[in-house]
Amino acid sequence: MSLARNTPNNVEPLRFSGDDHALVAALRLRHPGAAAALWDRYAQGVHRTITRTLGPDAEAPDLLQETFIHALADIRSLDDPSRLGPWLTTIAVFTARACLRRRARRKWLSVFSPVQVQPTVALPVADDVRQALQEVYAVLNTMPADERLAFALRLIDGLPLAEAAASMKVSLATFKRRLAKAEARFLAVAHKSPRLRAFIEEGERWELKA
Amino acid sequence: MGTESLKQLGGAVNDAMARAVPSEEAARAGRAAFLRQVHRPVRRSPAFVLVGAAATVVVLALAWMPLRRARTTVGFVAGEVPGEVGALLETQARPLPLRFDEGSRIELDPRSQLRVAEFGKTKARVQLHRGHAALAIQKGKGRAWAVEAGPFAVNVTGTRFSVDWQPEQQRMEVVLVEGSVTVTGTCLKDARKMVAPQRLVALCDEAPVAFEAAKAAATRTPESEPMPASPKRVAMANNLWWQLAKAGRYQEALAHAKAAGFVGLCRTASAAELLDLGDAARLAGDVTAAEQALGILNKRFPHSPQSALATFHLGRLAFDQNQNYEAAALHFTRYLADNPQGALVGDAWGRLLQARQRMSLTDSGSQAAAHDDARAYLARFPNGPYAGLARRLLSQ
Repeated sequence: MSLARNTPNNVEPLRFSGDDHALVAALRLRHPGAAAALWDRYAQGVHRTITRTLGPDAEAPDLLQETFIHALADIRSLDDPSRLGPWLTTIAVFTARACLRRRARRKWLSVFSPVQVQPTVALPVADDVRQALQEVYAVLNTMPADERLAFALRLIDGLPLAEAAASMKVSLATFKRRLAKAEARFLAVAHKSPRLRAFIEEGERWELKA
Repeated sequence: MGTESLKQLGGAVNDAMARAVPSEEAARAGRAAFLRQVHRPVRRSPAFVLVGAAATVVVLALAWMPLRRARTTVGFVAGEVPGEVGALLETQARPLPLRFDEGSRIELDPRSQLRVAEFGKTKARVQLHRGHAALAIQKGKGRAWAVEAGPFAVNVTGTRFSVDWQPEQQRMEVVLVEGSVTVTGTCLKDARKMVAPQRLVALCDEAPVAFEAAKAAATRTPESEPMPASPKRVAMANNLWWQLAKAGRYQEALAHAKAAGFVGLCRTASAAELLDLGDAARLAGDVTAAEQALGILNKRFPHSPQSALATFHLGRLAFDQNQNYEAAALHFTRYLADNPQGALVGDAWGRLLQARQRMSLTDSGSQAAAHDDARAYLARFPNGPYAGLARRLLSQ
């Protein structure tokens, strides 16, 4: 028998592996590798929810962090570990809503201050698509947060109605009402933009490639 | 006009926003920032600590009497029946919980063997003959615990940890979640102190018992490639490549892994390590090595969450690096079949449809499969981000 691995380097940080049930249990036990596993498994999906609701927003990485911090703090409130993904989506939606409301308050408070433009990130798409995106989210910025979220979750993110309603923690009927209001409000404002009007009324489509 | 055109507008916005994926560097930085916040120590005010301590004293005083009574019996329960010191406990498909009267617990995984060799007033000794056991040992009970696994021993005070022992490979893994332990063994030169959170993997070059060595030889599959000369070398490289990979030094990580014998490493690594190794190879630009690590991961751990990711990555490699759209479609189809609720379902569908589109450009016979997938996608995600592509495939 000879010497086994016995260098100072053979002790390494703990990592976690297991399904969502095991992951939730590990998070509750504060397993040291569980937070990283949660991030690795769901960061992409949460980022998607945030960017679809807010658009190309420079604050998206901060909200991603915020969502996961909230999730870790509230992990004991998750009843069904198999719903970990949708549960995180709900937290992401509410984090985005809090951000929108914060901005709305700030806008109201700074009514006499110089105009502040929300920083955005540049997407690798053609210029006209980028401008169209800005116009879409500019229209969404004029809407109440709940209506905007209903619009984004259903029409941009493409979530099924029931899933979108659940992620906003409202009944299907309430969600449908919000969505109908959001659609009407969006159409009323979008008609003033030649680019959006061309898309909606004349069937003009965008070429994504830059 | 209204809702339908808005759905199309939303789909177009979604397609454009799909390009808002953070760079690998930004994603890594975000992950690191999150983990820094999570592992930041909590600082409590002195007043908070005093109030907490006072409350603890009251609770402990109230609990003192029943605890004293419970301590008078010595023993343990295996599942629902009283345990027997010296008896070999063997699990099949289900785990077996062991509860000790002092409050310590052991969870024995399926297909594992364990014996409580000794349970005295001052000493408890558990032998893990095979498999995996998670332990939560109560502090301050005056009993010294030791877990023996082959030639190794883990000496415990109060802590939570797990031990995995694979006699065929002479491989022991200790995952320490809380507290500290000391690992000793005839294979180790010195006793090794561990402080949570840490993991230790120890390998012996030779089997300590002839019977186990013979069994190890018998279980080696005939088609398997020979192991590298020294498992010790593999173990050390296992740690080094991983650290380099985590530091983003993928080329060096891969070079170290290869120097120690890439295939041997793949045969001893855990599912998570294999996924990291595949990622390191992929990011180092070595498609063959990446495919090898991910393929072995799928073979060795077919039902693990890492296997699902491996399948997805294999699809990406086939699509992006090899332009082998048929292989890519196979991998994405497999991912979707095995993980209908997986985190990457949307991306897998998108990639699958893109692979079908590329295939249909060169092979008219592939259109039927493209139509089937496009129809399946639209049935599930009628307004999904790839609905436009699916409709284009159907119109071809």
